[in-house]
Amino acid sequence: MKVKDVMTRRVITVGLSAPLREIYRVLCEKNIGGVPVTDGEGKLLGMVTKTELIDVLIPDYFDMIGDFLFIDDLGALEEKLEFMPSLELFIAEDLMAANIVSINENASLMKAPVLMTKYNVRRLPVVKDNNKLVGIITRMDICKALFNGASGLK
Amino acid sequence: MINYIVAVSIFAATFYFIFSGKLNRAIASFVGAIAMVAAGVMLGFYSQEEAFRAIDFNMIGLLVGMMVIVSVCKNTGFFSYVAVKAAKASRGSPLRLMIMMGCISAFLSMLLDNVTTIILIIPITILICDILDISPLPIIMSEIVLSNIGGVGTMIGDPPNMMIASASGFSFDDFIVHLMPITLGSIMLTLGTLSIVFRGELKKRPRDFAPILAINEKAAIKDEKALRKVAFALGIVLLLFFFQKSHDFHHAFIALLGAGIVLAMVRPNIEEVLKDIEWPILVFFGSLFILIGGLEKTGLLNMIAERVVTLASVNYNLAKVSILWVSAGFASLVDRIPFTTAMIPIIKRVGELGFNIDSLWWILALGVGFGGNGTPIGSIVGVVGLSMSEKTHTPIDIKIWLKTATVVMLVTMIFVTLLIGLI
Repeated sequence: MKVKDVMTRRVITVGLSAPLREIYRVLCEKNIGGVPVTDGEGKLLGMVTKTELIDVLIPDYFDMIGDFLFIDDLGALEEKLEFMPSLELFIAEDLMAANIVSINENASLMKAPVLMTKYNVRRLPVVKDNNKLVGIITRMDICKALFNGASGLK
Repeated sequence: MINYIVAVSIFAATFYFIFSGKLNRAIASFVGAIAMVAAGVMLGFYSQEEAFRAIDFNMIGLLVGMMVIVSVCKNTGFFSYVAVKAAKASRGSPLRLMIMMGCISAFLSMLLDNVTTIILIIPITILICDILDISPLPIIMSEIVLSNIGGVGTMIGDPPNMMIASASGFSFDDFIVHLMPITLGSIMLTLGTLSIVFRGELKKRPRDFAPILAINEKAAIKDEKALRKVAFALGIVLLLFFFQKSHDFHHAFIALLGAGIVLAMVRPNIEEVLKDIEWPILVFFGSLFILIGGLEKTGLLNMIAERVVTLASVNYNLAKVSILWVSAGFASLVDRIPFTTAMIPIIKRVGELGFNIDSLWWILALGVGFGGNGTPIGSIVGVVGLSMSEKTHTPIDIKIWLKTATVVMLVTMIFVTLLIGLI
């Protein structure tokens, strides 16, 4: 069984200049956890997931602090959280995870769960040889293939 | 003559790669050292035994011992505890916060590795400033420059001092007597200079100081027992250093003894501790010693030493001032470690030619130490601090550096120059 037999073909994408709020709306309306970012020709550039959306809230230097959980009241930092003016300034290009793992449509289906576990991701964009996005494969797609067998295939 | 040309070419090529940053400095110096020994053995000016003896294991052992102690100490939460204590004591004044954090950085750098101090103290500083909604820039800057200055104050504060200690035979208290007063004076001058150049940023008072007062700093300490044990070991190390004149133990032994006490008492994961030892730096030092050892055998360093002696016999203070500023120039524009390694045999040779070289050692330490603040690339602390500040709203750029740290470097260097007769 190949990846292309199982993947979701009608994949929702956003462009590099999609504003943060629009991405949020896409994720909400379609009830999905992440959306691939593509260029005008449909080539895969990156991915924005809920993780990247939440990351906007965290100041960059927090990854350098070993432990700050002993501080209860974050003072002015907390006030900034409430009206995040910077929220409107971000576009897909700023937050997307670039250099992401993708999988070729002709790859064996076995490879998908292995890659997901190895890179700790929940979905893999599926590409053709020229890095053009042709679909997306999620854990649910793989489960369906497993439990419904070949009969469950679309 | 051929020895001389070959050795100098190897040396020059290696230093070109180190200083231009085209090759990692540990790799460049390692390859250079191998080439120097190969040439030395083939041409007969430098044997493999001599190369091995050129490595100053006393200095390297001292460095490793301190790295082990720091490695165990850094996971205890001690640095966050101190930072919050200082923030509380500042009572919300950015100026007082800058002075206190700067002094903490300076004093910790006297005992512990500067880079570790900076890596642990800057993030918590930025967080405190963000909680207070004040600019972290002046405070980070004072931590960086005072870490470099504080490191000059003691024998174990900074690698150049460790090298000088090992080469000159000076004890821990010699360093305290000769360098600490100048270091303390320079810390005060630095804080004065920074409060003037940052007067605009320091004006803004925090709106609300209550969140800082609400922090329970004791909760920051993750492992109080380990912290007590590290303090105990560090206490023994300092005690042995202080009374070094009354026993025969070398610097390396004392630091490694401290490391042994920490390891036996805290029993940390040894693999984690060994990972924290900065192997690239040790390779860099070992290779530099071998490289300079080869150069020394060709007689080039002797020639330079004779020039210094000629100058010194005409005007001793002028010679001292020249060494001071040349050291500072090298430290701020290139790398002070190879420069110090090269200066050590030169100063030794000047001593052999009948000069009293005691003050030249102190001048070298002051020059390379204070000179490191001249540019952002003058010290690893500067490089690391700069890249950490890029994660704040007010990243340090070269313009800010020139207006603040470079001014501090000039002020402290002029201070030392004025005192040159006393050193």
